[in-house]
This record gives sequence, C-alpha cells and structure tokens, in this order.
Amino acid sequence: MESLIVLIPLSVLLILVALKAFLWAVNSGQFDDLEREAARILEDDDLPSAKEDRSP
Amino acid sequence: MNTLSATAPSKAPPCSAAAEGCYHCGLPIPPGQVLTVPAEGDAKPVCCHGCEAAYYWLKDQGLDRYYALREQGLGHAAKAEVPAWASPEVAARYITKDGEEAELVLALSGLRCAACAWLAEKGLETLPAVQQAQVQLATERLHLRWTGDESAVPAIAERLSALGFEAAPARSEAAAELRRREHRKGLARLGIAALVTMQIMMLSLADYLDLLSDLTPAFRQLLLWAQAVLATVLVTFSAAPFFQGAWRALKQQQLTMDVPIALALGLAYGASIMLLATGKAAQGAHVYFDSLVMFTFFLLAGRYAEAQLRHQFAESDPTLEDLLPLTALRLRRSGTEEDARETVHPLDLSPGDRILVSAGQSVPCEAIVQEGSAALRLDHLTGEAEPQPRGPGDAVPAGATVLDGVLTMTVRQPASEGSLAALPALLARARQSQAGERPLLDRIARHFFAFQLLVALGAGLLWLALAPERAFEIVLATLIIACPCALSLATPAARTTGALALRQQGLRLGRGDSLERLAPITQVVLDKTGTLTEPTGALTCVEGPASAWALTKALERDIDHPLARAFQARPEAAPPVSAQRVVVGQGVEGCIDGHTYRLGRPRFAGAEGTGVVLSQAAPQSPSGWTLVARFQSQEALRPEVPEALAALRAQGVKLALLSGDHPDRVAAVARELGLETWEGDATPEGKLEALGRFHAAGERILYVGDGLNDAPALGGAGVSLALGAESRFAQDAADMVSFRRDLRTVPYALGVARCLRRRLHRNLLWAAGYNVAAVPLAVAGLVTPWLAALGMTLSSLIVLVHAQRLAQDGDRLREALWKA
Repeated sequence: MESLIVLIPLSVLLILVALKAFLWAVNSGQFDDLEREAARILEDDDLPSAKEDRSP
Repeated sequence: MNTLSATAPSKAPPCSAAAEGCYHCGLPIPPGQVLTVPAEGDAKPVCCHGCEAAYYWLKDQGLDRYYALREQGLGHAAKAEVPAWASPEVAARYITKDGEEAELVLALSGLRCAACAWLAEKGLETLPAVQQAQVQLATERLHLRWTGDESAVPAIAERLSALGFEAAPARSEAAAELRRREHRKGLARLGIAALVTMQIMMLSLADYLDLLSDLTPAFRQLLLWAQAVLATVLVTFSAAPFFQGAWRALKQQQLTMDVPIALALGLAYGASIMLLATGKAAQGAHVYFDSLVMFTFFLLAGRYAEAQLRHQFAESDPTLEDLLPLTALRLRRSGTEEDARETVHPLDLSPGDRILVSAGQSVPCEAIVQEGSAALRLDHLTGEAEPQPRGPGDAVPAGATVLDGVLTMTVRQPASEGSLAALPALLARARQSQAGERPLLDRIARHFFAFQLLVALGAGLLWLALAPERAFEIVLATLIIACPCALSLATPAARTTGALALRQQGLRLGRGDSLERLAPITQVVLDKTGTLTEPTGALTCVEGPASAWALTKALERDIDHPLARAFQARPEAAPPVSAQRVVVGQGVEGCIDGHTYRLGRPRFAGAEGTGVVLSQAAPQSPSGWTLVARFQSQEALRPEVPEALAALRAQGVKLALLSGDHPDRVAAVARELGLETWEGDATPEGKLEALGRFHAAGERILYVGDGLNDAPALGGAGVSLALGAESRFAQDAADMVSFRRDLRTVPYALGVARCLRRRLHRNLLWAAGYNVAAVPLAVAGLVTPWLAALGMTLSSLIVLVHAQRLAQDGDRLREALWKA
C-alpha cells in the first residue's frame, strides 16, 4: 500500500506530460488534415531522395 | 543537381532516352538483351518482357498513339507554362518572407486523391530551393516554404503546371488562419478535457466502489489531491471559454448559457477545493471533481461539433481577395507611341493608372472606359442577367466581367475601396443570419437560463430552511441537471451528421439550415438542359446550305457555352468575324464580310420554329432578318434520370419541368419521363413566374437546375439545388450544390433531410422532456450532483448517438439509390 504514495503522484505527473505532448501535437498542426495524414503511412519516404540528380 | 528551371521530374524523360534506351520506358537496355518491338516501321529495342507486354497491350487497345504523343511532348509537359500571377513582381504580393525563407500558400485544383497530393509534394521537393511542400487534401491548399524570394516562384509554378495541377495563390488566408487557430484551440481543450476526465474517473473509482472506508484518511487525501491537480488543469485551460463567456455576458447584463454553466463549474470546483483544504473531504465529505470534469467534457464536445460545422460553411464565403482578379494589366506610356504593358497585382493599382481588360476577365476596380466598347456582366452586383453595354466615358464598377471586346480604362478608385469590397461583407452577413439559426430555441433559452437560476436559488433557500447541510449539494445538482446541454446539442449534432452524409455523395450545403428547409418540400421543379438531358455534342444542319457551318464557327469563336463548343468543333475553316457580341440566353451576333449575322434562338434571329437559327440582317424583310440555316442540337436523357424521378415519386413529391427550350422538345422529354406538369419556352422571368404560381397553389418548392441560365429561378425558389458547381452563382447562392452531376443526389438529399427532421424533432422532444422531468427530482433532493452530471451526460449522449444514426439512414438511402 505504501507504494501508492509514490505511484499516485507519479501517475499525475505522467498525465501532465501526456497533456503537454498532446498540446504540442495539436499546435504543430498534426490534426489539421486527417484525410491526408491517414495516407502518409503508405508512402515510401525511405526511398532515396529524388533531389539528388540521377540523370547521367 | 537539377536547376530550378528544370522541368523534368525525378525520372529521366522517356523521349530523350528513347533513341538509345527502351522504347517503352526509356531506361537503358541491359547488355545482351535482344528484345524488340515493331514500331514506326522499325524494330525498336525494349529492356524487358514487362515493357514488351506493356507495348503490345497498348497496341491491342489502340492506344499506341501514346508513343507519338509522348515524343511530341504533349500531355502534361505541353501545359507547362508560367501563369501571369507567378511573375516575380506580382508574386511578391502573395508570399510571406521570413529572413532567408519565403512562404506561399497555393490553392490547387486537380487534386483527386492522396496520390495526387503525394505527387505535388514530391514533384516540388525535387526543386533544390524548396524546403517543404505540404498539401492539405481537405482544403486543397499547398503550403510551400523555400529558401530565397519571389524570384523562385516562376519555377515553382512551372513545375506544378507540368505536373498537371492548376495553382493560384490562395486568398482569404487570413480568415483561414483564424479558423485553423480556432480549430486547434477547440481540439486542444476537448482533448485535454477527455484525458483529464478519464484520469479523474479512474481516481474516483475507489470512492464509487466504497473502497475508501478501509483506507486511512491520508490515502484518501492523496487520491483527492491528485484529482484536484488534474481538475485545476481542466478548469483553468479547458473550461476557460465558459468563464470568459459568462463574464462577457454579465458585463453586457445578459444571460447566456455560459452563466449557469460557469456558476455550476465555479461552485463545484470552489466547494471541492474548500472541502479538501479544510480536511473535511478526507473525513468522507463528497467532492465534485468527477461531476465537474464530465460536465465540462460533454459541453466542449458539443461546442466542438458546432464549430466544425461553422467552419465548413465559412470556407465557402468569398472575401474581397477571392473576388479580385489575380492580376491586372497596366499600361504605361513610355515616351514613344507604343504602350508598355506590365502585369501587376490589382491592389497595386492607384487612381489615374490605365488598365487593359479583355474578354473573359473581370475589372479589378472602379474605372472609367477610355477606349473600346464592350458588353459587361454586372449580375453579381445588380442581379441583372442582361449584359450591359459600356463605351468611352462610362463608369464601370469593380467585379464586372467583360464579355466581349477589349477595354482601356482609367482607374477611379483603388480596388480596396470599390463596390466589390462591400459584397463579401453583405454575403457573410446574409450567411450568418441564416447559418446556425435557432430563433425559437434562442427565445426559449433566454428565459430558460433565468428560470434555471431562479429554480436553483429557490431550491437552495428551501433546503436552507429544511436541512442546511444539504442545501449546497442540491443547488449544484439543480444547476447541472437543468443545463439545456442536450437541447443545445440537438440541432448542431443533427446538422453535422446530415451535412457529412450529404458530403459523401458530393453535396455541399450553402446554408446551415438548408436541410431543415428541404424536408417539408412538396414539389420538385426541374430544369431540362443540363439537368435532365445533356447535349450529346452533335449538331445536325436541318435546313440551309452546308457552307453555313463556316459562318457559325466564326460567330461562336472564343465563346464558352456547351452549344458553342459543338460549333467550334466543326472542321470547316472560319472566316474572320468582327463586332462579335453575346446576348446571354439568346445567342450571338457578329459581322462577317460586311454582313451582320445572328445565331441563336429562333426568335432572337428573327425566325420561327425550333432549333438554333443562323440568319442574316435583311432590312427589306419584315422581321429584319432572313434565315440562312437551321440546326438541331441532339440531346439525350442522362442515364440515371428515370431512376432518380422514380425515387422522387416514391417519396411523394410532385414533379414539374420548366425549360427555356422549345415546347415541342420539352413535351417530348416530359412524355418520355411521364411528367404531367411542364412548361416550355420559359424565359428566366417566366420561370420565376411559374414558381410563383406553384407557390400560390400551396406547394413548397425545390428548384433543381445547373445555375447557368436559371440563376434567378434558383434564387427565387424556396430551396434551390444546383447540379454541378460550374457557375459562380451555384457556388455562392444556391442552398445546396451537387458537385457530382447526378440527379440521384436529389432524392438522396431529400431522404436525408426528412430523416434529419424526424431525428431532430425526436431529439428536441427528448431533451426538453428530460429537463422538465429531472428538475423537480433535483429540487426534491433525490439527485446528487454526480448523478446530475451523469444524467446530463447521458441525455447528451443519447442525443448525439441518435443524431449519429443519421449516417446509417444515409447509407441505406445510398444503397437503395445506387444499387448497381
């Protein structure tokens, strides 16, 4: 039971961190357009960047 | 590295590599590969079996012209051109600079799916200067950030054009930015309320299950302090708008819903903290954190839903910048007789400047004509559909569209002050007065809040006399339970779901209450051309010499109308035409070889009968015209029409057909579709008159048209639905716009509207019933504050869920209508 003395404040702290993370996500525009973001996972962004000139 | 001006996307262009590479894909041929295909009378090498198969497939499908087109650089590459707005001088007006970097927001058209968005982003990111290109699919906006300044804009515009997108600087960005900020704030408040609510519920679970009696007061104190910390976050951040709203209302000596809400929240929070601080809570006194957070969360959810809907409508409001043309052409006298032309931003024009406006463009600011004469369309300002002629010395208002000819004008007033500037304000006001309109509820509500406060006060006084220790609890319970949250959620929730159900079938609402007004209609009035029928594009010459085709092609030159395009598509060579003039809804007039011709409706061209008539001016004949040739356009019923009309009949509405076409042809269509009420040869005024007659007969009318030549009728009907969004009118004033040109969207919209009305009525009844029944219970002391919050929550949830069922109604309707 004594562990609760540590665990309960800790859980409150964690929530505050989660709230901060959520605020950051909202303010950086991650929820502005849900349609587009849903498809982003399907894109092959790990392919080599096309910015490098590949013509001979 | 690619340079900024390079137009080639990531891959090497097939045409340049075709000489030595694979005939199909352009990649180099692997050593030892000997596959060839027979093309262009020669054996061309291909790199693999896949390309060989692709070649034969295209050939079998008769699509091998692809190779020829590709070599000519047709297709996308041919369209790669830099639009006028992208010239650095004009673009400087649209970009925002931030040190080394510049930003630009473009409105893209041609975006269809996530893949298009991907293409636009990647295609731009290959430009070395571009730091970030991000497409928002829902709003069709492209956010661009690059190092440099406006000198990079032409390359960006060229690349977008090469990729097949039409881009223009997105206007009304300031308003969009405001909406975006409001959306983010609302979402942050709601999300945080949700997280905090879940946590506090978890922490108070021990209390609910009565596990705390075993615990020492110290543990109980700890659990309660944890709740207090979280509740403080919620009250100071998420619930802030309620307190602000209440303060504003009280300062203006008014009662809004925010007042009782803020009072309940403040009381619950203050009392809980007091109980906790004095140590009474640890002894077993009840705290109200759970009621408090649940209450806040559901209130915020309702407001968020309402804000979403409001933003959706706001996005279609034009602002001054939307209405101004993107560029203006300024003339500058440069010593010699020749005028130098420069492209400038309309807001950069100052009084005294000379500008040039040619056919199809709109006038950027109040101006006076110097040279030239033309017909101008002013309908957005005056509502007159008839084009107005203007010549030297005449004043022209901003926003007028030049239909023919070229005008040289002197600027009278800067664009920011003209009549155009008044228009967005008017439109927005009209919208605002209608969108989100709840007159009855508002009237009830104002009294309701006063009633709610009085009842809470009365209950408090009663219980102070009966049992003072319970008084506070009962006041709180009464305040919460009497909150008309469910009542205020009912309308926006139903509207949002209804609007979303319609959106899935390509229907957009022009006004917030369009659906409620659609539900009680009893008669659907349809336009013929563009609504029931579609010109097949073919024309036949039923009378007169074949040489008439050349004259018609000349007369219809550069005119944008479905019928005109059919004439333009003829193979004959067109002679030069002068003094070309369009009479909207009637036809065209022009001068060829010194003779004046008219082409259009029979009456306009001085003839009888049906079809499109070409006639020549003949002063000696009684009508002033002699007939040269007569054409019939062929039109066909759109395939979905019988099904859509059957669905409408099944919904029990009367149908009528109003058309400007010749009565014989209207009768034929009416007969084929089994329509009993029809009227042909109707002018726009005639249509309005007919609508007035139907209205006088007690019908409530929905008018369906394409908005091209029936704008007055669309505006005059009780409810209007524009099929196709081509006309500006359809977009700006119609109650509903069907972006999908499919008549089945009409019975769909009607079905959704009726379901919405049913659900809305049930919701309002339920919510009002709940409040009426629950308040006496709370006053009688039978309801504790947490039970009150739960009841409030449940009643709101029921209203939300019930409204959500509208989506399923929509699905059912869709399945019934689009069976195939």
